[in-house]
Amino acid sequence: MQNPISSDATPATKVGSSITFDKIEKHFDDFHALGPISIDVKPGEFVSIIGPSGCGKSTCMLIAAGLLQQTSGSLKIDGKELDGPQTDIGIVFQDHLLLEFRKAMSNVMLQQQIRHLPKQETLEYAQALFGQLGLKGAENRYPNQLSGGMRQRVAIARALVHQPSVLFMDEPFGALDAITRTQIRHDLEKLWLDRGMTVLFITHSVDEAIGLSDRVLVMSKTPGQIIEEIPIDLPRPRPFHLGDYPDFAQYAHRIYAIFEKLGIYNFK
Amino acid sequence: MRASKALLAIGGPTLTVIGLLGVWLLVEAAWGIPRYLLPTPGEVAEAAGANMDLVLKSFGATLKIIMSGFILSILVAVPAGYCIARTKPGNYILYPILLVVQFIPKTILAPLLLVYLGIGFVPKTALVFLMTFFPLLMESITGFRNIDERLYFTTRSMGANWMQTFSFMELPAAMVHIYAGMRTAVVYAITAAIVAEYVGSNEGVGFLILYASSDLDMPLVFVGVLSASVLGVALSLAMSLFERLLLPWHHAQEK
Repeated sequence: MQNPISSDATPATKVGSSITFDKIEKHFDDFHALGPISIDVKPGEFVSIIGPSGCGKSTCMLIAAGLLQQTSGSLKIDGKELDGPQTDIGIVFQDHLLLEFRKAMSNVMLQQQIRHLPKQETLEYAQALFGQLGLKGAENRYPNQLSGGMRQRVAIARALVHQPSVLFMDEPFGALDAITRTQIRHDLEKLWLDRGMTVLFITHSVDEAIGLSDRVLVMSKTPGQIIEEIPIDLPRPRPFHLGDYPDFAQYAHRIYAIFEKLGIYNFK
Repeated sequence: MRASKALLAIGGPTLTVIGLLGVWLLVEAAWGIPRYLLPTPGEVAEAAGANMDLVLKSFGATLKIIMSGFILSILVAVPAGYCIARTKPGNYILYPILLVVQFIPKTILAPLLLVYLGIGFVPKTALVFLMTFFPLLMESITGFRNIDERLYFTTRSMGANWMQTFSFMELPAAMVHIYAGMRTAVVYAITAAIVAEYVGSNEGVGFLILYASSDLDMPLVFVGVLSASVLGVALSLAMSLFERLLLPWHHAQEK
C-alpha cells in the first residue's frame, strides 16, 4: 500500500492526484466545526472518511474541493497549494443535484459545454459511462422520470465524464435502498479500478467504507478529527456479500468498537 | 370510451354556449329590453360582418401594443429580477421598496403618461409595460432566489464563468417562476392596452368600444367586447403552447 499506482499498474488515461490536508481547521463564527486534521491521500488511492452525523465530514470535502475556505491550515493537490475552486475534480453529493430541465445525457454533457471539451469524443466517453453504469436507455429522460438510483448514477457519470484526477463523493448512496446501494457500490469500484482516479469518499456506512476503500479514516464527533486510520487489505474487486471475507468482520468490529468508545453507539 | 370523452369535452361547452345564446334571446323577449340597449346575437354578428375591416384593424393595433409592452417588460424584468435576487443591495434596499411599490395601481398613471409621453404608440406601450413589469419582476426574483445553492457547487467545480452559470443553470432553473409571472402578466397586458386606448387613442379595440358606445351603436360595442375576449383567449392559448417550449420537462413529468 505504499504506492498503489505505479506507471504500469493502471490502464487509466489519467492518474489520480495526491491530496494533502495539513492541519486544516474550520470555524463557523464561534462554532469549531472541524480539525485540526492532517490527511495524506496518495495518487489513485480510495480513501473513506467515516464518522457520525454532523462531525464535519462534508465540510472536510468542500474544503478539499476548494468550495469552502478553511479557517487555518493548508491544502495541497499534487503538492500545489489550493487557492480557489478546483476544476480537475468530479463531485457527487447525497442529493443528485442534477438540473431538472436537462435530460440525463444533457446533464452529463453540461461538462462538455462548460469546459469546451471536444464534443464527439466526450459524447462517446459519456455513452461508455452510461453503459458501465447501467444507464442505457435513460439518455433522453428527464431526472424526474428516473428512479433515485438512476439519478445518482447519472450524477456519477457527470462527475467522471471529463476524466478528473480526483472524485469527491459525499454520502453518494445515502438516499438509496440497500439493494441498489450494493450494486452501485460494486459499479463504482469497477469504474475506479478502470480509471485510477483518486477518490475521497464520505460515508456513514461501515459496509461501504470497508467494501470500497484502501484506507478508512474514522472521524470523531464535532470538532471532527481523524482518530483512527484503518488500512483495508482485501482483494479486489470485492464481492457483493462482504461477509465472504472473514477479515471483513474484523475490520467492521474495529470501526464499531471506535464508535462505541466515542459514545456514538450505546448498546447496553 | 376515449371518443365519447372527446365528444363530451367538445359537445358540452358547445351546447352550453348555444343554451346561453338562447337565454339571451329569451331575456330580451320576456322583459322587453329595448334593442338599443341589448342587441340580439344576430345583430351583433351582422355588425361584426359589416365592420370586419375595422374590427381586424383594431384587433391588430391592440395586439401590437400588448406584444411590444409585454416583450419589453420581459426583457427588463428578468435581468432586473436577477440583479435584485442575487446582490446584497438588491435584496436589502430595492426588494423592500418593491414590496410596497408593486401594490400601487398602475392604471391610475394612464392620464399622467399621456401628459408626459403624448398620444400614440409610446404611452400605450408604457402603460402595458408598467402593468406587466411588477408581476414579472416579483416572480423573477422568486425564481432566482429559489435556486438550490448547492447547484453552484456543481457549476463552480466545472469552472463555469458568470455567463455560463447564468445561461446553463440560473435562467432555466428560474424559468418555472418566470413563466408563472408571464401568465399573470399577459392578462394585465390586455387590460392595460385597452385602458390606454380608452384614455387616448384613435385606434385599437378600446377605441372601437369607446367610439361605438358614444355613437350608441350597441351591436358594435358588443363586437368590441367580444374581440377583447377573443384576444384574451388567444393569448392564453399561446402562453400554454409557449410553456411546452420553455418548460418541456414539465410535460415529461405528467406522462
